[in-house]
Amino acid sequence: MRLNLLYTEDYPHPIEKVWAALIDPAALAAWLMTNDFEPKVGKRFTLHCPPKPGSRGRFDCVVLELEPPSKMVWSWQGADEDPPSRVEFHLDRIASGTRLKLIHIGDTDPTMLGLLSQGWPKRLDALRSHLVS
Amino acid sequence: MHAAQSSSAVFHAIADPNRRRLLGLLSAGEKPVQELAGHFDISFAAVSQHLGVLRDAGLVVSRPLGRQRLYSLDARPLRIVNDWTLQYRDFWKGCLGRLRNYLDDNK
Repeated sequence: MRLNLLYTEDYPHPIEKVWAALIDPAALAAWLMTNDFEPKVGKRFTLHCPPKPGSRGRFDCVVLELEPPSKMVWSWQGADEDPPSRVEFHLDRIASGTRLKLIHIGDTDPTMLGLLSQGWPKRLDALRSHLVS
Repeated sequence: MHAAQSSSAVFHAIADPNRRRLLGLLSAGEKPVQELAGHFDISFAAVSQHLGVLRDAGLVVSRPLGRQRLYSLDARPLRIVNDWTLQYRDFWKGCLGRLRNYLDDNK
């Protein structure tokens, strides 16, 4: 749920080359996961990796936005129960090559954020006093 | 007390906005179901049903007090949610490392 990840990476490569690595299924297989991706808005695709505890090893995605060679947005769902999250790739030309910004944002419901940020000790104290009362 | 819960039960429980609101109300302290129901436009039965889902996920506990039933929050299963975000952090780090290698190897 409370997912808000941002990564910034600079590459000494031209933007076209980095873009190609984001939209070529063989390239995606090399750095992300095996897939049936196609660079088309509305394309539903699946990423596969070996399942492990806590993960079914499958991610259901949809291409939401595609603006070559600078922006691509996917919806991303790792479990049926999860609300879909959003993965954004942003590419910018910089003097030394290309800057990639990768953003993965989930549902940031204020109630959940509050519950998670209040910290555990307070809640555990509340539980303890409840159990002994 | 309820048994340790699976992540899918916890995610299912918190996927619903009414249930998240119930958790928010309970974070202020123990409350009778009647008082909780007063905060919602949905029926009393529907509120009870949502509380049941939260209880099955181990997120709330209840106890009788006279004719009332009091509910309180047990936030411990929410650790799973936290672990989930940590898993993604490591996941993307690994992916970006491989992307860098891929770009460097395919000049």
